[in-house]
Amino acid sequence: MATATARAEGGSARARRPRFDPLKALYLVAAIYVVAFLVFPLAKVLFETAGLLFNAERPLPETLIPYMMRITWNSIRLALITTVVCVAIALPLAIAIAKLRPPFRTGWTVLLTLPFITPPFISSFAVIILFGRSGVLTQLMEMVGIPGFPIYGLNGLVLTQVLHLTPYALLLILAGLQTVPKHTEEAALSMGEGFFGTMRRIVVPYIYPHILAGAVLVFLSSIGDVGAPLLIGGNYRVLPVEIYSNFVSFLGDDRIPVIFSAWIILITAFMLFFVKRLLDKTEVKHKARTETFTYDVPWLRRAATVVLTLVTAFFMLPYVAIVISSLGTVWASKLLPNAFTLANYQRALGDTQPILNSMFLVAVITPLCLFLAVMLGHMLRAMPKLRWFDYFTLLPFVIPGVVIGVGIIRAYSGVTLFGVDFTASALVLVTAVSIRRLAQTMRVMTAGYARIDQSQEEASWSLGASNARTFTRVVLPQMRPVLFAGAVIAITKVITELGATLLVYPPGWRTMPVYIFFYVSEGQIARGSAMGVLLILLVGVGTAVANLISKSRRAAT
Amino acid sequence: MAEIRIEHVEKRFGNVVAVHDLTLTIAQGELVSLLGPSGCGKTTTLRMLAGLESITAGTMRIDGQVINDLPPQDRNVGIVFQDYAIFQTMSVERNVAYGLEVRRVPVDERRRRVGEALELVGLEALGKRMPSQLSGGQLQRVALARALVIRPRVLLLDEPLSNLDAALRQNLRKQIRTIQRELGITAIFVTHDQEEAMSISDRIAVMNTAKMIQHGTPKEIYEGPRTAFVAAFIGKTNLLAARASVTAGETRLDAGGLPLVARSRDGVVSGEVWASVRPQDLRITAEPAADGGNVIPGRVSYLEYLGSLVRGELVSDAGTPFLFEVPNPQHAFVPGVGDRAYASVAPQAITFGRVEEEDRPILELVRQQVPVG
Repeated sequence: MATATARAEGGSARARRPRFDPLKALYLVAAIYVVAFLVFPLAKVLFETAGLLFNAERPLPETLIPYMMRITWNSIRLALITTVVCVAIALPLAIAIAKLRPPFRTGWTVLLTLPFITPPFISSFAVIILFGRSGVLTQLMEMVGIPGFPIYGLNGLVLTQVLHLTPYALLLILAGLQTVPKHTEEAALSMGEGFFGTMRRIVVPYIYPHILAGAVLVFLSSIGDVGAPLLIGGNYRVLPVEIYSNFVSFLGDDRIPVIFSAWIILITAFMLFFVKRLLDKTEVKHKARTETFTYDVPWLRRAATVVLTLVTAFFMLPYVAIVISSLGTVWASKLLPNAFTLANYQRALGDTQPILNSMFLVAVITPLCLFLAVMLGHMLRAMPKLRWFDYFTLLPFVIPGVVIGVGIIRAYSGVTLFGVDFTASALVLVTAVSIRRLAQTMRVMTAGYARIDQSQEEASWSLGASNARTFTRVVLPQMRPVLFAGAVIAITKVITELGATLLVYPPGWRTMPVYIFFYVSEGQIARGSAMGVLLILLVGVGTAVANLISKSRRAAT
Repeated sequence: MAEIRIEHVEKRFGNVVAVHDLTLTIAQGELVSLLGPSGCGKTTTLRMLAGLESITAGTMRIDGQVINDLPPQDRNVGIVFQDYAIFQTMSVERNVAYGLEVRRVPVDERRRRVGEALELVGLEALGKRMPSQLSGGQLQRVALARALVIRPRVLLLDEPLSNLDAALRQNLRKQIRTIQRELGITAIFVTHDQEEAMSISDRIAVMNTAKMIQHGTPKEIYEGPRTAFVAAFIGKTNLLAARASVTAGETRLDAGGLPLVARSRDGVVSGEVWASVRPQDLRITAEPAADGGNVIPGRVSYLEYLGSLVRGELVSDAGTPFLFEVPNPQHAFVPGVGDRAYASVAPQAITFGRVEEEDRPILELVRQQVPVG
């Protein structure tokens, strides 16, 4: 008794007991994975850079830093323009969809979110097909006397990134619009404010965090994009391209990828704190949505319908283009390809290796990402003292895929694991892509955990259940729909990953996006298009099946 | 069935003291309420007993066993939460059976005990239902059955009625009290509702700003508040800041120019005091009453007719507002708004006490004529 009292006075932690807690062991496994394949590689890049900067034997060329600054400015300028254009399109579009309720809005929204399930560079080679020197739209424009514009460079990059990234901003802003309480708008209208005034003075300020989150997401995706700048950037060089081309080329300076990577880590890490605050603010924590107020103004609704239709049609152009291109032979300087054929699909399906590789990666990485996200999400919930770990899991959100690739290669080249050369096997691909996609899966899980009240676990403990039992019997069953959502996100994000894959893929491990990327950059656009269509179909069918399963499960319970 | 001893318990969150030097004993089979405004430390105390919050200093015992370092799983206490905390993915039966499954109770016995527990709370017909098909009151009764079925040593109730509507609240409150008596289980009931605490408890512990201010039976606390806060928090009252002087066995109070005579209390006090006069102890008359009590002349500023009583406010000539109640208005004198009237109060109906540091905020409100209590 006396010892118990003495210990109590020293203060004791909650529920500490000597018994083995399997959950804690799993937290540890997940945390070690993140440290080993994310924190350590990034730290290694930073340390190596420090070494390179102060290496007297092999001094850096004097022009390197000014050159890096010029490239940095290119990256930032591109990202800023893309962000402004994306938000300028997404905000009015979201308001039109949510507030004016034009007909078929659900259908349009689904179409507009197609880029979620496609690799980012699909739109860039579609832009080449459409707006290239011999592109179909360039032809049309010249027929009516509008001169074409050069697409290789900043113009084309902005166009392709806007086509791909606008939906990300759109969905975040739409989610934000659903949080605006109906009564604030009714109050504004009752005081004589009109539609535009209410939007400008009430609604837009209310969803400011969501708009900002959308903007940041677009900005970071643009900064980290490597596929589009490689295909369509021309002489407009950006940071990820410099890293990639110096990494793969024998003529390149092997120090550049490391130094540039360290530089990107420094720039983007600054944004981490900001990004975390925004994400926490915009996360939907409450189950019940507030009702959305909609406006019944016929002429505005008609206008919204027209605009929405035109914008959706424009955003669908890339997909129409690659479908046509995939079915044609040569398509240049004409409205349609010379002839139609299925040969591209035969060849694409003949290349079973990239398809199998991609399916293998999805099959391995999806459960891996889910495991990591479920365990780390639960760890952050159960152990508030470890909340800072969330910054690590957010890192892949802000750091480009190529940088993660460089980090893992630098950290593990030459290392053998279980008798396998790490960087020459699928291991390197699995770790790089899983780490890259962990952030997205994590966000889904933490939002899911936030909806389960702490008292659920407390009730279970007080009834005598261990932590492990509480987790498997009380918490996990309530997470089931969230696990499905997380799996869908993981599947689509893994299958479309390019940045990290491009850097680390070992021989024999080309994935579908890599395959498409190489064919398009070699000018074999039709063949790449066919594989692109297959990829979209694969993800589309996969997502649809997952949705059906989760719906029927929900209906069953 | 157990006795709870809380001895000099302290809880700090960083620099914030949530519970300060709390000592309280709860006898076997007793129901004690922890009553106080939000942030007073009552829920924290309950959570420390449940093992959901660590204890910074002091000891908590159940039946003599120190439970400070015991994890919640090993304490064998039943908790009922404000938000029910019913497991969403399990049926009513499965929820109630959960604690028995953990304890590896054989299936036959488990089924019998779940049935008994559901019968006890009147939900025997709803065992197969899912939580989403139940109302708030039903969910809270499931939670009660789930907490009781494991035969806990102690039942902890954390504002269990706060999310329910008024009629249901009274109904369930009675049911909780009946079940608790029937089983003879020791229970702690946390609430911020003084009426709820008065109605359900054997004893009440009033807490404010991390400290227990007073404890006793509802009657003791209502009739003999120890501080201005308790007087104002438990029931409605007129709180006055006054100066006291003792003469010839009575205490004379000077409440801002208003002289009052009160019966002296043990431990004679003089100097700066607070005084409390309950609204129902003020008798309202058209002419000054001649029975030798205190007479407060003034004007009626406000009246509300509530059927069984009329409640009103009389502003004394010195400018102090007094809340009064006239029971059975059908048979009693009721003044009109704006009328001149007299309020009289017997010396023994005035409670008072020396002003302590913790009384100052509430007396400051009285000075600014902000209504309290």
